[in-house]
Amino acid sequence: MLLINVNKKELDEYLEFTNSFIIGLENYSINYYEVSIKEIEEILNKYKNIDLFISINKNIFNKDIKDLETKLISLSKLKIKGILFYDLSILEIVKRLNLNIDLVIHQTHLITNYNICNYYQDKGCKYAYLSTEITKDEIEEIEAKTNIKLMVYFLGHPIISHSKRKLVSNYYLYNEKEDTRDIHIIKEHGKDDKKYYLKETNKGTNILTYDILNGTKAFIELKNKIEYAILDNNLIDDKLFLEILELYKLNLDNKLCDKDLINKMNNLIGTNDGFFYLKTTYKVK
Amino acid sequence: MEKVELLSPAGDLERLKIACIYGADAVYIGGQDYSLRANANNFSISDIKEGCKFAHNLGKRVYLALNIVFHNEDIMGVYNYIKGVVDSGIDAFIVSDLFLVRYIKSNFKVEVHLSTQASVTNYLSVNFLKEEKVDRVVLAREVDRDGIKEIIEKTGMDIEVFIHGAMCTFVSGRCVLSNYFTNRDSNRGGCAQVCRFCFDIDSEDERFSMAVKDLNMASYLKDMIELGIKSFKIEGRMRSPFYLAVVLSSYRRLIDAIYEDNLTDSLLEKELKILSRVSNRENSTHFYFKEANLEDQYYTGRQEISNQDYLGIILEKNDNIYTIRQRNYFKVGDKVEFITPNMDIISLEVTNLYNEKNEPIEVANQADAIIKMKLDIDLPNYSMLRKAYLT
Repeated sequence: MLLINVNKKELDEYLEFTNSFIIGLENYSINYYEVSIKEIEEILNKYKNIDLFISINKNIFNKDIKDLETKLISLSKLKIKGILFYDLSILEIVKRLNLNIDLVIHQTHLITNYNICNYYQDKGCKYAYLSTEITKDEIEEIEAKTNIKLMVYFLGHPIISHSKRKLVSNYYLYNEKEDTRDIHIIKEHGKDDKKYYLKETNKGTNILTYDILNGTKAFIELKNKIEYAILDNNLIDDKLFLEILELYKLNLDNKLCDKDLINKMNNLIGTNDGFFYLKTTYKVK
Repeated sequence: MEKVELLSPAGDLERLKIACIYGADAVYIGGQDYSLRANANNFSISDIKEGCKFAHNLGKRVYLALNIVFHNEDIMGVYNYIKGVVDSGIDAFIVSDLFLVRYIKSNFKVEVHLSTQASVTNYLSVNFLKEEKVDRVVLAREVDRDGIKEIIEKTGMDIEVFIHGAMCTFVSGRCVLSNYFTNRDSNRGGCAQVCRFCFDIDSEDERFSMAVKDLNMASYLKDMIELGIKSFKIEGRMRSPFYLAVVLSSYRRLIDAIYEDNLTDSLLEKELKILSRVSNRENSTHFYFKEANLEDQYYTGRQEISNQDYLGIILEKNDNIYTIRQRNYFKVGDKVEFITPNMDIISLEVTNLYNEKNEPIEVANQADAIIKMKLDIDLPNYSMLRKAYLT
């Protein structure tokens, strides 16, 4: 099933493709479009039949805990589908307060093997959101060796690093210049090959890929083995994103063959398939 | 009052020995697999055994980092590996993947410390880990003073924090820049320090750097001890023996002075000078007192300064002839200082030098060459020779 990471509250144009969405919670999300509890209620009232996941994926500090408990209690009373979480404190709060919330372990780069999936399933998590830095084969092995339901990110600009530091505003302050952009593009000095997005928010600085991840081939190979295929609307033009959704939906409805979907997607957004077919190395000797 | 632990990195057996004799209470090491410094020399099982024996004889402890973020292919071998390491005498494992906590605590009587890679930042997470039988948590570098205090008060958990060395720009565990820039896996020991690269921002003419300064908490150790922190951690398994000896002996002198209630401004000033000299970057306290800000960052690319103070290390003594493994250039007539594992600093002028064949030479100019010096003083093995700058 397609799960859209949305960048707005209005979901009407997506409903013909899926009814599953992720949105961030105000002050608690990194690299998600954030809304308040009240706005979540409004979304759920407006769209009665959607499955809405809420991402609470920032690092939680002591000063956040009291407010976070209140927010989690409020969320547990709403008909959300589940909470994507990074910080272990959320597992602890849900357990201690006995909240009725389905949990998705979403530790960005850290959910990389079947044992950790099994561990979090034992801790009560229903879903695992896998790292974008593992291969298709690794995902298949995880699926074979765990019963937790899997979410896999196939398309978008994945986040590749997060700092609590205000790296961009520090830079402009130091250089006594005015920062006039919402988002910047960086590349390694002297190298032209790869660009990255650099974005500062009130929670720090994020780096995202500049090229859109096109995991369509992996999607074809994995779609029957996972619970949710995540398509991320963040930084992608709305019209293009709707076109992408339409192609994926046609394929899921058996109206567009796998090969044609891959070809059309390659033509549309390029062939950056991330780490689905590329193993990383870690010893350089 | 239990004394705070001074915890040193050690990239190989020689560094472990140096760390132990220069004032560390414990050392953390990496095996040849599963640690986040895949390109350090690291320890074989027999090295671990020898290192543990050496450290335990001096009343010191040894922790092994098993803190990669595991992929499926890493799992099968790790169970046998853990047994081998436990049999070698290790005192604790440092892990980040939580499935390992459960496995180790269910099967072995050995401590488990949770790595900073897991970025633990609050007391509820620490309580969760306590219930999982984690023995110690290395807090995320982003936790401030009040946060550390509250975590200790509300959990009673043994807490370890970094006090000195290089800092990550990004939250540990939340950065895979190396994967994307170099195809090296950041979370499996392949970090290429991409955050220290020089970047162009928005146009060719604008240089951008996200590199940050080093951490140095030497001036605030008393406050940190009073918070109840269990262990002070020095960063740097890739650092040189000389760096370790200098940094550890400085912190050893400061910590001992605090407990003996004789820390003076002049001692602190002297140690800060030593620490500043051995470091190759500027330093800051980063998140301890405030949100890290523009003072903690570099803006014009890499800022490392090459340090050539380290001249050599004493390997052995026969009568009054010392065998030294040389590091940097020096010559007869130079003023030098020996620093010793007894925390002494001995200044002298070089009056003689010999090569390995006992032939007189005027200059020592070959890194790693074996040279000899005739000295009428008594110096223990592993004493280090450096350029004179305190006298």
